Amino acid sequence: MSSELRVNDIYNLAGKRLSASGVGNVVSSDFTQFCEPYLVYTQNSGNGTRFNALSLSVTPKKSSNILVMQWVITGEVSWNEVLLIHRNDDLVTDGGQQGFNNEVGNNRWSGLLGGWYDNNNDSTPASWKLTYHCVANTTNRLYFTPAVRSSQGNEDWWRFNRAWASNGQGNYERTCSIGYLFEIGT
Amino acid sequence: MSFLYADNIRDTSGNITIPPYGSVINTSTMRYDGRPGYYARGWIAPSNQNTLFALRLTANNVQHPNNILVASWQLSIETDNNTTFKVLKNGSWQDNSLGTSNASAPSDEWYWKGLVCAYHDGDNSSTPSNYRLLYICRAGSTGSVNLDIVAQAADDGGRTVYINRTYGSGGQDAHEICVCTGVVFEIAHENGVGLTD
Repeated sequence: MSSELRVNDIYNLAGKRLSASGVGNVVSSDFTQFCEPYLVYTQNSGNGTRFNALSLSVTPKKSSNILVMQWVITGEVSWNEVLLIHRNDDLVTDGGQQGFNNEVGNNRWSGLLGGWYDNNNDSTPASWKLTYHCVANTTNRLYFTPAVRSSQGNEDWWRFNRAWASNGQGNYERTCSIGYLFEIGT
Repeated sequence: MSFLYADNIRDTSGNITIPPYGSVINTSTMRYDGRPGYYARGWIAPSNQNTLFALRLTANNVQHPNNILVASWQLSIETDNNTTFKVLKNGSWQDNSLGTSNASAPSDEWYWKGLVCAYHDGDNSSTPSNYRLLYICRAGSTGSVNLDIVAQAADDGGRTVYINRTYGSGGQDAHEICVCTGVVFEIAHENGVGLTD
C-alpha cells in the first residue's frame, strides 16, 4: 500500500525550502545503446534513412513540456553526408524545430550534422555528438530517430560502430552509439 | 533531527515534488541555423576577442549561486586546425577556474588554451566539423547567466570561423549546412539549492 502526503511546501529545520514543483525538472527519460556493427544505405534524395536502433521514445506528461535529446554516434562514412532527425518515422518539419537547417530548407546538403572529413575512412571510426530539442506538442507517444542522407550526387553507406574496411581487428576499432532523452517539465 | 517517510510527496495541485539535491531544477536551450563567419584573432585577451553571440546559451531563472550549471553545445563549425574554443561566463573569462581552460598551461599563454580545439581534419573547404563543448561551473549568481563561446587563433595569425557552413560554400552538393544547438541544466547543490530561499 502506497502512502501519499500533500503539502504546499517542505522546509528543513533551518528554514530552507526542499521541494520543487516539477517545472524545469526532468520528469521522464529514455535511453538507448547499440554496439553492433550496422550499415545504413544513404540515398541522395528523400528525407534520409533511419537508424532505428537509436530511437528514443517518450509519452509526454504535458504537451508544453520540452524534450532534450543527446546522442554520441560512432562509425565511418564518406564526408559528404548529413544527419537528420525523424519524429514518428517522418522528417521533423515543424517551424523552428526542423530536423535539418531551416535557413536553407530541406536540401540534400541540409542537416543537423555533417559527415566527418577525417584523413582516413578505412580504419578508426569517428564520433558525432548530436543535440536536438523541441516542444512535445502532444501527450501521445513520440519517438525520435537519427537518419542519414547523402549530400552529393552519389549514394553511399554509413557504417555505424565500425570502421569502413573492417568489422573489428587490430587498428580497426569497434565502438558503441548511445543516446538519452529527458522530458523537462513546464 | 526528524524524519518523514512517504512514497510520494505532492503539492496541493497534485504535482509530485522532487527532493532537489542533485536534481535538475532548470533547463534552458538554444538553437541557431544561421551561417555567419567570425574573425578569430590570435594574440589578444579572450575578453576582447570576437564573441560568437549567436551561440549564446542563457541559463534562465537560476535559483542559487552555489548551484551547478552543466552546459553542452553541439557545434557545426569549419575553421583552421590552429583554433581554440573558450567559454565566457557573463562576459568574463576566468583563467584556471573549473572547466574554463587548461589549468596546467602557463597563464600568459592563454591564446593556445581552450576547452576544445579545432580538428586537424582533411579539408576545410567542405563538410563542417562537429564538436561537443561541455562546460561545468558554479552559477555564481541568480537570475540569468550568459554563457558565450569565443573562438581564438592559437598563433599570432587570424582566421575566419564559419558557423553551420563550410569555407568553400554556403550550401550546395557536398558542402553541408548544419545546425548548432545547446542545453544548460541547473543542478541543485546541497550547499545551494535556493528555490525560494
